[in-house]
Parts: sequence; C-alpha cells; structure tokens
Amino acid sequence: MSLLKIRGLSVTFDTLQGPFKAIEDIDLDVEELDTLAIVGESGCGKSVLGHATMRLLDDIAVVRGSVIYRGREVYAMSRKELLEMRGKAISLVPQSPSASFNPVIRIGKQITELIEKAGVAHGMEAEQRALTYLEYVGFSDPHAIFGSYPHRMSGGMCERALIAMSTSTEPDLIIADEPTKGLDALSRKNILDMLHRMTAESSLIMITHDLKAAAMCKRIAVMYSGEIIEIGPTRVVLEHPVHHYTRGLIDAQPSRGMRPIPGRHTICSHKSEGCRFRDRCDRVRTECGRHTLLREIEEGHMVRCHYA
Amino acid sequence: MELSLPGNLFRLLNDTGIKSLDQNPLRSLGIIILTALVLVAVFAPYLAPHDPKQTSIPYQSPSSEHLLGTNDLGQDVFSELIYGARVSLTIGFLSGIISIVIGVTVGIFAGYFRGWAEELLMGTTDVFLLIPSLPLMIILAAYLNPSMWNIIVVVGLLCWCSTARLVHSRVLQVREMQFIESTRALGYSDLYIIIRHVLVNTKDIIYAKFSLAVASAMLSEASLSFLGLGDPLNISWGEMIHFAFSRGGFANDMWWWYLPPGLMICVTLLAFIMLTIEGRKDSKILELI
Amino acid sequence: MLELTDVSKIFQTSFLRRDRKVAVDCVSFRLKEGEILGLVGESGCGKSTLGRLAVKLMQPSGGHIFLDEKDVTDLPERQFREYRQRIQIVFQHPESALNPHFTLMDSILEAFYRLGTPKSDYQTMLERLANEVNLPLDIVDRYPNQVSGGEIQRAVLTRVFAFKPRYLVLDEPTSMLDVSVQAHILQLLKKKAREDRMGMLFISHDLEVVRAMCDRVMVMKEGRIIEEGTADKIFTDPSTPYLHKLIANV
Ligand SMILES: Nc1ncnc2c1ncn2[C@@H]1O[C@H](COP(=O)(O)OP(=O)(O)OP(=O)(O)O)[C@@H](O)[C@H]1O
Ligand SMILES: Nc1ncnc2c1ncn2[C@@H]1O[C@H](COP(=O)(O)OP(=O)(O)OP(=O)(O)O)[C@@H](O)[C@H]1O
Ligand SMILES: [Mg+2]
Ligand SMILES: [Mg+2]
Repeated sequence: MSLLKIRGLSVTFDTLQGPFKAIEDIDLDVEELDTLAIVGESGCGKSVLGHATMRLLDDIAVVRGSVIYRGREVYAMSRKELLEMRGKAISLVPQSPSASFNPVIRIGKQITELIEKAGVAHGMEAEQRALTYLEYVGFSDPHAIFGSYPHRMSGGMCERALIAMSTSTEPDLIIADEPTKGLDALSRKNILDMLHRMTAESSLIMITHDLKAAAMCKRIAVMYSGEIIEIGPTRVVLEHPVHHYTRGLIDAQPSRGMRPIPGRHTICSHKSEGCRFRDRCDRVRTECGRHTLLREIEEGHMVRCHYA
Repeated sequence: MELSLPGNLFRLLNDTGIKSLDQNPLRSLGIIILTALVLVAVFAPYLAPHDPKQTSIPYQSPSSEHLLGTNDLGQDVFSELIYGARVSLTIGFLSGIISIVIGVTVGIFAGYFRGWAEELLMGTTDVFLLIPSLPLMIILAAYLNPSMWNIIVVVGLLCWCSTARLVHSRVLQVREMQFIESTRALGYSDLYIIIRHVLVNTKDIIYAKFSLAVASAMLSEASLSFLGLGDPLNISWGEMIHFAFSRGGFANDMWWWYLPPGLMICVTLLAFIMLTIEGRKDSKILELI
Repeated sequence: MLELTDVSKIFQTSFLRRDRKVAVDCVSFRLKEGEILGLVGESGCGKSTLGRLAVKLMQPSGGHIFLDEKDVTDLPERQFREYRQRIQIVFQHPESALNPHFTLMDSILEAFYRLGTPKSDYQTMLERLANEVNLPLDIVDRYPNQVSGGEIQRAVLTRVFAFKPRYLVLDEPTSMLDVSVQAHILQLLKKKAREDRMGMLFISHDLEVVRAMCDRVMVMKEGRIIEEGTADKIFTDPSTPYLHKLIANV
C-alpha cells in the first residue's frame, strides 16, 4: 500500500475573472521512503498542490478528487483526525518563512509548542528536541536562536528555523516548499544533507526551483500550468528530458547559458483543450490541439506529449 | 460564484466581511436586530400609536389600546419605548464615535511615532484609565446641565482609553511589518502611511471596538439616567426605568413599566456585542505544519 | 555614484545595554551607474542590513553615505524623500513587502501616484511594465495571499521599475522564480544596467548567477567585507579560505 495516493485532484479558485483552475487532474503516488521533487514554472500550482494534499484549501477553493493517506481519505477525515494528521503524519514547510512565524513569540517557544501539540515529547524533553533540530539545520548556537524573535533574524535564518520546526516532529511525509531558497551554498548543502538523512525514515516531497537540489530525490515531477507533464526517475528526466518544456527548463539554468523559454505562460480562466505548452513549443504540430494523457514511454517515465 | 458585481463593489463587500456572514450566524443576528432598532428609531413617529407626552388614565395595565399599559402620568409606555430608542441610540452612537475617534488617533500616533509622543500619549491614557469613570461621570453630569449633549460629551470623553491601548498595541505590530518599510522606500510620508496602510490593518479591531464603545456608552447613559441625571426633555430607556423606580412602578409590581426598557437595553447591548464576535478563525500557520 | 564609507550598524538585542549585535562593521564601497555589484556571504552575515542602510531605511550607527557626491547620512527623512525615487530596493521576502489588504494592482499604482503619472497613462504603463517582467496581467487584481510566490516577486519588481531608479538594491530578486523566468528577469536586469545605466547592488546566494551577472563582487563575512574584486578573479582565484569553501560547495 502506498503512503500517499492522489487521484484526479483539481483545485478551482473563485476569482474576479471567474473560476480559475490552479491544478487539474493530478495523479500522484508516493511510496514509503520515497523522495519526489516537484519542479515547474512559477505559478503552475506547486504550492497549491502541497496545500491541497494537507486539505488546507477547503474554505477558499473548490477541491475535487481524492487524497488517500495510508488508506484513509484525507477529504473524509473529521476535524480532529485532520489536526492529528497535520504536523505529526504529514508536515509542510511553507513557502514564506516570514509569514509563517508569529513575529512576537520566541522561536523556541513556537517549535516546542508544535512538538507538544503533536504529542511527540513534552516539557523539557520537547525543548531539548527543539534545540537538537535547531542544531541540525546548522545553527552553531541553538540556544541563542531558541530565545530570539523571528523579526530579528535574517531571511536565511528564518528559513532554517522553519525547516527545524517542521521536521522536529519526525513526520512520515515532509512536504517542503522551496526549502533551499535564500540559503547560501554551505547552509543549502547542510539542509539538503539533513533532508537526505531524514529520508531514511520518512518520505519527502520537495517543491523546488533548484534543479541541482532536485537531483537528490529519486523521482521528479515536472508541472506546467496546473498539470503534471513529465514524471520519472530523476536521472532519466534530467539527462534525457522528453517534454519540450522540461528541455527548456533545463537549458535555462545559469550553468547551461541562462536561456529563457520564449513566450509567456498565459493564465486563462477557461483553459483550452490540448497541450498547454503548445504556444511556446517550437515543435508544435496540428496534433497538439487535442488533449493528451500522461503516457508511459519507459519503465516509470511518463510524459504528456503526443510525440513522446 | 457567478457574481456579476463590478470589481470595486465586490471588494468592498468582501472587505466588510459581509460575504462571510453565512458562516457567522451570531453576527448576522446582531446586524438584523440593530437594523430593526435603527429603523424603529428613525420611523418612531409613524410607528408609535400615541404621542408619548400625551396623558390619559394612569397605571393602566396592558390592553389592546395601550400595548404596554400606561405610567403614572397616563403616558403610553409602548410609545415612550419607541421614542426612547431614538434617544438611547443617538447617545450611544455619538459618544461611541467621539471615543473611537479620540482613542484611534491617540493609539495610532503613539504606536507609530514612538519616542516622547508615545510616552506622553500613553501616559495620559493610563491616567484616564486610573480614574474611576462612573463616579467622575456622575460628578460631571451633576454639575453640568442635564442635557443630552452634555451626557454625550461626558461619556465620549471618558471612554476612549481602552481603545487607545488596543490600537496602540496593534500599531506597534503593524509598524514593524515590511510593507510599511517598503512604502517608505517609495518616498511616501508618514501621514500617508498611517492613513492608507496602518488604518486598514487595524480596521478589524476598530470595528469591534466601535461596537463595544457604543454598547458601553449606552450602558453608562442608562446608569446616569437611572440615577436621575438624564435629560428630562429626551426620555431614554434608562430614564424610563428611573421614573418607574422613583414613582412606585417597582413597588407596585407594574412590570409593564420597568421591564420593557430594561429588556431593550439588554437586547441592544447584546446585539452590539454579537457584532464583534468573530467566526471560527483558524490560525492557518499553526495548522500548516 | 552611490558611496558608503565605513558604514556600521549595531543592533541592541536586549534592554540590557551589554547585548549588542554588530550586523555591519565598517563597510565601504562604491556603486557606479550602470554597474552591477554582487554581494555574497553566508546566511546572517549582514547583507540585507547593508542593503537597507544603503537606501537609508535604517540610520547607520556610524559612517557616511554619499548619493551623487552629496552626503545624505544625516539628512532628515523629510528631505531625503525627494531622493527616494533615485534609489530603490527590492526586499528579500516579497510576500511581506506588500500590504495584505491591497491588491497587487493597488500596490503597483502606489508607485504611479507617487510619480504623478496622469491617470490616462496607467493602463499602458502597467501593461508595459508587467510585460517587461513577465507578470500575467490577469492576476493583478488579486490579493498577495492569492497569488504564487514568484508572481508577488514579479509584482514587486514591476513596482520598483516604475520609478526608473538610478540605483537599485536587489535582495535576492529571483529566489522564488523558476530558472526560466529567472533567466528572463536576469537578462532584463542586465539590459537595464547597460541601457538605462542603472547601478545595482545584487545580493544573491546563487554563485553561478552572481558570476554571470556581476561586474564586481564583494564577499561578506560577519559584517565585514573580506574580499572584493572582479567576478572572474573572485571565482577563479579566491584568496580567502572561506570563499574557497563557498565555491567548492556549489
Ligand atoms: N487563493 C487563491 N485565489 C486565486 N488564485 C490563486 C490562489 N492561490 C493561488 N492562486 C493561483 O494559482 C496558481 C498557482 O499558485 P501556486 O502558489 O501553486 O504557484 P507555485 O507553482 O507555487 O508558484 P511559485 O513557484 O511562484 O511559488 C497561481 O497562478 C496563483 O495565482
Ligand atoms: N532588528 C534586528 N534586531 C537585532 N538583530 C538583527 C535585526 N535585524 C537583523 N539582525 C541580525 O543581524 C544579522 C544580519 O542580518 P541580515 O538580515 O542582514 O543577514 P543576511 O546577510 O541578509 O542573511 P540572509 O542571507 O540569511 O538573508 C543577523 O545575525 C540578524 O540576527
Ligand atoms: Mg509556490
Ligand atoms: Mg537577507
């Protein structure tokens, strides 16, 4: 039985221009101890997917489809079960560190509170645990950080404290939304090493823009405009990308010459049929106007393109 | 979902929280009660069956002619009640507005500018908070002429302190937020930042505090009137109780005389308090992780 | 030219007078028009603080700031306000740099009001700027919590570019963008530096980006500049062991 099974997940927001589908028909499986990287254009729905998995969008969006965690449907859980699941079973490292901490409560207190809420440890033990995790994320003086206020810390320090907070409950599944942004080379390596160590006991979904960081995951999913367009083993996808968007993305890396993909992703409320990348694809043919599903082209490697 | 409102109106509705009313039945109830009360006050001459000043047979118990009976002068209690809504609500709203304007101004300037302005303003607030306000009100009301306007000013000038404290502490938080800094970087003046940015981020507590201020002003007015310090020309609910008490309504158990104004005060206060009740507000962030 | 001489910033971290944190320690540099100056260093070394000091959002504890040969260090805010259009900053966390009660459009329009643009030009100006930074126009009437991280980041850039500043402090301007949009923005920044002679202080953690973008690079550690030189020299021949380590870990 897989740890997390997402089937036909769609999220529709109600905007001034009418309903807007941020993600559509996402199917995803995460096995125990699996590591999956999600990459894709900014605004393609990665964070929305992460939030929808934890059922955080209920009251602001229409969510369809099912998310099954260890055989239980997340969208059928009671409020109490849900609160138990979040934090302890699945935990999310949110994308914006500065908005995620309460600026007027000391960091240490916020972490300890979460550990106690999840019921992992209590009292002194919880504090000790918080300190340990602060040390894991590379603070040489965890006691100083434990007692400081979030608004007095630099961007990278906040980010690391947030990672310490989210991982301190040792959840079964960590969803990390851009954990390495704003970190210098040393801290970034440190965080990636730590996440890697943690994957010995838990699964990881890492949303990232950093294709090199993505390489530490076993599998990678590429999203474009609310759909998964390519998914497969990381090595295969990064070295032999099939979809033209994936190719463009890899070529846009600074080390590969920084060539942006021409054109712009257009957000339209009523997305047209067919391949969503076709306006920007240089190999577009008439076939591309028809809708296509993810097709398996080799073991575990699936692509949403007519000409794969 | 298919809202065809123009953008601005939609946002306006969204901003005031009207859209979320269906998840907040208590607040809707408060709004309904208050709207009804305000309508009654505005249309009092059309709704009241009698002129409240007109006298007839005293001490009548409720009948179809006099729905709530008559008082010692033979005035219709029901009509008096309807006209009383005008007086009570006017006093409540005007004093509420005075206290909110003073409280918000003091709180914002103290919180935003810090330094000596803060020391001075918050020091003054503390002094005002220390003064036992009801006795002071009684003294002031007793020395000034017993007119409605004096009561409004006295109550308004003595009730702003807790608003100032609350707004002050919120502004201390808001001023540390980065968008304040980034607006400053655009070259805007402090006054602009206060009006456009700080105010919108404190408006939720201003709304709540306003409705509580109106409620407490009405209560203070009722206390003053009950003690006989009200305006005899504009009979409010508090004064109705006062007369019922001093002229034997309680002693002779004429419930129709003293109970209705008391109930009206309770219901109105409750409605104002219900307005401030927030719906279940989950802290998203704590749940996120 | 933007020039900082011996600028320091000391934070009082507790009410007890003894607890102090020297965030920036005697830093001097010059930023010429049309130049992109990189600033790298480990997390918490004082880069963002230095950026804030450069645009005078914080008063330095010591040292001087010269803007176009004029000493603006002790200029009161009221008088410095007229210089603000010349020198702009993009903050590190874009999601908190916009008022949550304003739509992206309102926040961008704030810059237009300040500039005194006639109302009839708003639409064309907005379209031109949004196009430049690749911001989809359909999302500008949403609130900051209704758009993605990268979209806010581009909205912030739109707002800053409306001023056509002569000097710009960029604190990790592409941290939330995917590599393709990042490449687009970086090319745009380069173009602005070359064609509009905009001087930029470019703070970033991505050493590859810094190398590709910057003319000169400064390396900061614990509040001090420990190394400075042309990008090529810094990356091919780092003189301090710290930088060695930094580069080796990319
Ligand atoms: N509450 C909302 N209401 C309306 N639209 C929304 C809302 N939240 C997100 N969106 C839209 O959904 C799309 C996907 O957003 P999401 O935050 O998932 O992007 P992302 O892939 O995480 O991008 P980034 O890499 O920039 O963070 C965006 O176009 C965004 O504008
Ligand atoms: N308001 C403040 N009060 C006290 N200390 C502060 C304050 N702001 C920043 N600091 C401290 O100053 C130091 C430098 O912070 P700064 O934000 O400049 O770092 P940075 O180089 O930008 O780091 P990062 O790369 O993580 O963003 C940090 O150690 C931080 O704790
Ligand atoms: Mg995101
Ligand atoms: Mg910083």
